[in-house]
Amino acid sequence: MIDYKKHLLRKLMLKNIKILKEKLNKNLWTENNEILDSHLYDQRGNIKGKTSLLLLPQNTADVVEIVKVCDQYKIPIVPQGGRTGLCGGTIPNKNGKEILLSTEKMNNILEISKDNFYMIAQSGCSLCDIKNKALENNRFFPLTLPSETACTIGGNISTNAGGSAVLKYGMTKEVVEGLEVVLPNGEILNSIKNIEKDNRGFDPKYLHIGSEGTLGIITKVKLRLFPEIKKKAMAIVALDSIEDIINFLNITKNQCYEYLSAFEINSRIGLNLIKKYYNNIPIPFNNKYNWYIIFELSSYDNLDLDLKIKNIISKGLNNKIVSDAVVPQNLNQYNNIWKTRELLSEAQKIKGKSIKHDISIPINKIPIFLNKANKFLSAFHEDNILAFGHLADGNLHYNISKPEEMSDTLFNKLHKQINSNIFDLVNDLGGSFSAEHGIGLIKKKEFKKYTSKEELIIKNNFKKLLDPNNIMNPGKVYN
Amino acid sequence: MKVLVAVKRVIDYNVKIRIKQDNSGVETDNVKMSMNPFDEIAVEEAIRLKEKNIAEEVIVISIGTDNVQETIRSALAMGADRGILVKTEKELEPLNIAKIIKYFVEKEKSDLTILGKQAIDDDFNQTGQMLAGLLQYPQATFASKVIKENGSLLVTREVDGGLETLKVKLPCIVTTDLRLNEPRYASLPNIMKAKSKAIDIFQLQELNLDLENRLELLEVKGPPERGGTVKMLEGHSDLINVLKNKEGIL
Ligand SMILES: Cc1cc2nc3c(=O)[nH]c(=O)nc-3n(C[C@H](O)[C@H](O)[C@H](O)COP(=O)(O)OP(=O)(O)OC[C@H]3O[C@@H](n4cnc5c(N)ncnc54)[C@H](O)[C@@H]3O)c2cc1C
Repeated sequence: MIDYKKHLLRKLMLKNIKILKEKLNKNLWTENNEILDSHLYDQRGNIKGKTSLLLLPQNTADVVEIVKVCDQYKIPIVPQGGRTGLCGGTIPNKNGKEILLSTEKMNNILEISKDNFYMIAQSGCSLCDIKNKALENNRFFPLTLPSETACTIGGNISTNAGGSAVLKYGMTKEVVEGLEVVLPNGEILNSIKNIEKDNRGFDPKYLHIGSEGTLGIITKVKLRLFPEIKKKAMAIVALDSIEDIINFLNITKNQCYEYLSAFEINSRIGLNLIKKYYNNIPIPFNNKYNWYIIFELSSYDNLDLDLKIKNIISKGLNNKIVSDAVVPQNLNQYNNIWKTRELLSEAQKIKGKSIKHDISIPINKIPIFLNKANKFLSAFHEDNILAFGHLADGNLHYNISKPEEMSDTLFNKLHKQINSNIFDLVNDLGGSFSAEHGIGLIKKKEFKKYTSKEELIIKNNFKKLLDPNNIMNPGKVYN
Repeated sequence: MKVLVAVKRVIDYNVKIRIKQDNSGVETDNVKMSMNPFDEIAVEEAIRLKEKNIAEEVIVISIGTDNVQETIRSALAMGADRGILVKTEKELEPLNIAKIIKYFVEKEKSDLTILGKQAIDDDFNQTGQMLAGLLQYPQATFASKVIKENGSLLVTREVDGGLETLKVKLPCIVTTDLRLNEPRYASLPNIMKAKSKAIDIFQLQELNLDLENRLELLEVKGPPERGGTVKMLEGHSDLINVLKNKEGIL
């Protein structure tokens, strides 16, 4: 009986998809298996979905046309940008009923205003193109992600992405001035305006920032630009304990808050990974300390930031908080030092399987977190536990690699237990189990468990209000 | 053994070079300057000799404006003992640079003088060789390994198809290649200490050398713009069509 119902539903779905194809211009979709297949994987290669159609709109009108038909025939859509998201948000259901809508052909920069410091672009522009376009005009778009050549600005906004510029510029939501969104019923909600201030009630664009494709398709974006950065200076600093790091952050903020643009933490274990897998990158200090901070100052004018950096570190050295420090003498060293931080994820991938956590914790509670978390991971040798990330944002990547001698089965079995221990601890300390990467497909259970009832009700109600037929990325974030 | 290392301040290797509008040279205003990478390798090699107790003193020399002191300080922060700055506003060609360095090789009685094989700004690759010629010293250029053996150096050089090892008697001139070593990072405590190391400053005129330029720079031009556009082909049939009808290959 149930099978029969399934059969009927499937037939209906195929019929509907056929209708959709007939209504659309041929260059707006493809069924080519090779192309479909390349759009079905998640970044980490852990999950794969199924689909029979990929839509490739080129502009807002195309998206409106597509969404209207999909809403009428209740065809579920999975929006895709650069597919670099880390929570499976772009993976369709395994039953094959969902179709994909990729913004990859909506990649035009529409307007840049040097004088008014903004840019308007289609949502499928890569972050890298946006940043380069700004630079060509002596402007700076601050969002900085390791995935920037592949990810799209629409994806960044849909996940409210973070990255290494959050400290100075905030999350993506802080640099978005307006959005054009095609709602699930095919209507256009446009908050791109020519004015800076508009207090006619709350701003609906905030509904869509971080909504992971569940409330509509973002088609255009208006972004805030900044003056070009003229001067940068950085150092890598060695410290003994996590408490020292927090003290050092205080010194740095007190002396240079307005210039501080990065404050990233790495450890002996992290530098060992880099040394092992990237032997062309020179390792500072022969890696003889426990913890490292890479911090960077940047300014819009030609200030002597090197001097400021030296003053901050000298203070740390005098207070015996800092053990040693390296200031790069040329851009090659500058880049190499950054690489010791930027290549950590890749290095860990080469090492093998790992359980990853992207958590945020009140900064003063980070020592408690590390202490407690390391305790219930005592079965793992310390070399397998890597803590790194955006320390000044209270954002840690806390990843546990599979020890070589441990079987895959045991590691997979421990996965759930470790996750719930860590997330419980994070929750107890007032933190979040998802600092930057969102909910998507893989964090739904945690979303329910660690979000307040009131917040869940509001979010669920908005979803129902905007998407009554549940065609926008169904099965993601919400149940 | 006393080691003299010559270093040059150049536009940082990682900076995109912009040519002046009038083609008279390249833009250097507000551009990041660093030590010539081959010279950094030379400094590193000298310091390693000192750490192995083979060299007693490492002296760094540079020629140019006051800004060049920063480059000398960088070398001192890496571990060199003291610096020499020959001050001039003049653009000097390799032969003249070699004459100035010769003056200090003789003054300091350095046993080994190490230079980069070339500076990445003008790519002349002449100074070390001319210096050896002027001094009538043996030379080993493009060194990828240096070992001291009694009164000589064994210097390995990368040549087409393999490695060549030369034995050169001290005093001598060595120029460095890229694979000789990986220069160290300068630690901040060492940068601080370097501030109190001595840099002797000489005015170029004081040296009384005949430094007439024999070369004249006429113009500097960028490489030709990369032309052409890229068109994505839609599949096999499109490819065959292009090869057949447009390119005439099939
Ligand atoms: C190496 C690496 C490093 C990373 N580092 C960071 C980091 O430091 N900080 C961080 O925050 N993230 C990081 N990420 C995650 C990822 O790059 C970002 O989340 C990025 O913003 C996603 O952009 P995308 O275009 O790839 O989106 P996708 O992965 O294609 O999509 C992400 C979500 O947004 C939806 N979506 C995409 N486009 C639209 C649209 N136009 N309209 C509506 N919904 C849409 C999708 O349905 C999906 O739910 C990293 C990823 C990688 C691979």
